[in-house]
Amino acid sequence: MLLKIESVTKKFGGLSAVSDVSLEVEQGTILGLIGPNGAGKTTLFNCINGTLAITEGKIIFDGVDISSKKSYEIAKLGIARSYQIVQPFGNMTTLQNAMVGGFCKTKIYKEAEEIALRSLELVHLDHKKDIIAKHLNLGERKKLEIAKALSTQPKLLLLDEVMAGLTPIEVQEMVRIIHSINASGVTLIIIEHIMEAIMSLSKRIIVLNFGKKIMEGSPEDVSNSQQVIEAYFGVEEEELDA
Amino acid sequence: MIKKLIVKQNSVLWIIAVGIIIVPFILPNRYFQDIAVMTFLWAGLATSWNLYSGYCNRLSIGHAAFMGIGAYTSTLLYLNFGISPWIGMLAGGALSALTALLIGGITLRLKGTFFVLSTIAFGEILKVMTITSTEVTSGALGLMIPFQPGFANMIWTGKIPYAILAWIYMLVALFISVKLEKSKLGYSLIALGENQEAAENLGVNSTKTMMTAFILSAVLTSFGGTIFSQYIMFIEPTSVMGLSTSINFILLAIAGGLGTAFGPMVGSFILTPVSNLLRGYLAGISGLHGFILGMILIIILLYRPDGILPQLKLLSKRILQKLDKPKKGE
Amino acid sequence: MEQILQVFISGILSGGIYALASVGLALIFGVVGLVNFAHGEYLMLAMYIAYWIFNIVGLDPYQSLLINLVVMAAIGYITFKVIMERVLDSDHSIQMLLTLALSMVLQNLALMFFKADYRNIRIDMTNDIMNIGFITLNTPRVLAFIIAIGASVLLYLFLQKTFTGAAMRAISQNGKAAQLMGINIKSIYCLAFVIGTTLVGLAGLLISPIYPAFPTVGASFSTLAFIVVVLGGLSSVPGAIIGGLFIGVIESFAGYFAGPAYQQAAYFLLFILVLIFKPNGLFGRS
Repeated sequence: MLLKIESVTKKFGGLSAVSDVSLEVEQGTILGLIGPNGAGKTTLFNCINGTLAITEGKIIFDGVDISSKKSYEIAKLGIARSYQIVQPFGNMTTLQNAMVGGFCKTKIYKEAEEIALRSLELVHLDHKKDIIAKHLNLGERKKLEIAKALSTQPKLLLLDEVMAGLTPIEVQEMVRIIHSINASGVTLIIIEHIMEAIMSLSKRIIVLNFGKKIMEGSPEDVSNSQQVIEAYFGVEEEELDA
Repeated sequence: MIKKLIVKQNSVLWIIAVGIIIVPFILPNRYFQDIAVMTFLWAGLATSWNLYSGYCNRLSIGHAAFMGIGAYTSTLLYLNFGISPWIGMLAGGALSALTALLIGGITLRLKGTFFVLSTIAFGEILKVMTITSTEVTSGALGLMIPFQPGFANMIWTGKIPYAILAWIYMLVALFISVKLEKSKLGYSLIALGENQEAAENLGVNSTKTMMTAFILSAVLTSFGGTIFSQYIMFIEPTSVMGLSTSINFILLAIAGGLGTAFGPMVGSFILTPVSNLLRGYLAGISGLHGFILGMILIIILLYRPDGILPQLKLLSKRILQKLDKPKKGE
Repeated sequence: MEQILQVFISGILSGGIYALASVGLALIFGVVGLVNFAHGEYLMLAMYIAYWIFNIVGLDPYQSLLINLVVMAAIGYITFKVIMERVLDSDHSIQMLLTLALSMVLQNLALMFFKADYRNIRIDMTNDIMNIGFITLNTPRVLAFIIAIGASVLLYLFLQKTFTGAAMRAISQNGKAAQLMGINIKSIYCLAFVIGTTLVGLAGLLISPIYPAFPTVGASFSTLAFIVVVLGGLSSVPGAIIGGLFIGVIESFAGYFAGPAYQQAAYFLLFILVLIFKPNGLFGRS
């Protein structure tokens, strides 16, 4: 197991945003994480990569207990994440953005540059390497999010709705990109609302609702589950249909 | 050839930075040579300030405190124990590093506004301490350094040796900045300034990064303080530690271009001579000089917050491209 | 014991002025989001206005109160329209540097026109004292305290009881939500800035019979006001009132026990301690 989450709970004040969630991710797989808005998916990401300190439970990554580690330490151990709301370093170029991640595992400029260039190629953004990040369009920024994370040379990559807001053609491209990242040996957890995309990417899907894990199974199991349909019912029905 | 020039804009700036040392040799008299010394010295100081605050976009407005530590350490060691200011300069640097470590430990974790306010508080505390410790520092009266020329005393009769010393100081600060821009530290620092959380998620250790840059900046600023005191041969708390001194670092850096290696130098090359000449000509009207500098700062902030350097780079790029075109037609 | 009480009361009296000088800063920070380093300069301007009206027209500061406040409001309005309005969306560093530059400009302007001389207003009341039991109080200081606290409380009531005040509080808590409620944010920003400069102007006017005017008089009050608002939780008006009184007392006792030179050191030390242990302010909510 690359990642093992043991009954993790995250409370804000009295409210549990994530409550008693356990899951395991096997090396080389793509795990899908779905659920209605406010189900605690992004909070779970924040707990995994150390942006938020967990209230209870344990997170083991690659044999190391990372429950109380800081986010930069976790990044060095090999977990990277992208943000749902893109967070480029606006005044740096695309390449420089990726190089910040590139310096995660090396101190040598040339090496960081090479790593960054490779990640930009992987997300088809190398032709924009000298553009200042704030001048990129949304699709390009989403790709940059991934390239930055990839540059830290992660073993596990957490992608938070990288397809939201993209055109259908861009979505197809993104699916291919995620496949190629996976093929290069990176394990992934992806949060996604676009069902078609997630079904084609993951063999295993976990459903969160109100901070709890309500189901885990194959895409077919999940889409046929009454419980899941109820969780979405009236809330985001159209997205399930999509 | 011209395409290469565009890419090599930094080389052009390096040529200017190195070549500028000719200027004090051809200046007609001590008055203008003095302006040259001040221009190099302020360029070095502003570049040192920029190392942390400029790249990280977190203003240290009490930074003159480190200049004061440098100036007072070397001066006190020299006056009381006859220790050469060269060694005093290193001692001042070490003390500044220690102070930066202490202050940074408390303030660097503070968010934006609180950080800025805390730097002012520390600067003021140090100033008040210097003023009140009259037995050691002779308080607000200041300290006079006796005129005993000699290399070991870092005191010379003419202005030229000072110009060379200040120029070397400027080049060192510049060299470190350029190195920083091409290093992990520099990338981490700029990323932190843009978005701390996102940077940390990419493996940037914000405490270590900020602390390293803060100490580096403090030590270099402190060196400038020693050179300043040996040149002026008189120091008092307000001139070396006051808020207006810190503001001058910032003014020069932002005029040239905040968070760029050559920006503070360009700012100083333009504004220090202007400022000194104004001071000379407008000496009759106290306040006018400061008023004009303040107005320049306001105008830059309102209309060119990126500073002059990016504008210059853009301009030179356009000119070079225009020169390039007819060649292609041939 | 009597002396301790005397020192305490004296601190409270100064504290009232510090509170008034600081509430405007807290308001401007809370509502407009500006860290106004030029805040003290408005106090300096009001002192000079009081001085010149007294010397040319012969009206003492209390008689010229209304004119002075109107002029201060106008100066605040002009500053906002000409400078601040342009940088509302800019980076915080740019905003801070801008107010720093503004303070530099105003100080030097005062130096150019009024020279570095200390200018005192000597009115009949300047040296008046009143005795309450065994405590001796200087009348202008008492008057200044009463008006200062009155004005600060009025501001607090304005924020609590009026629609505009509620709008200001809403913006202070959540600018974006307030915008959705259809509040004209820019005019609220402007009003908050004008109120802030007028109140610190009032503080300047109130101390003018007992404190000399000189070009850098505002700088020391700026520093003080910043410490007060940090103690009070940065954007809280009631916090600034309590913080002001607190600093006044601390300063008074430090002066009494350790000597005047350590007054400043005392509150800077307090400031650092607060930053280390309670970065949300001594009286601020976390």
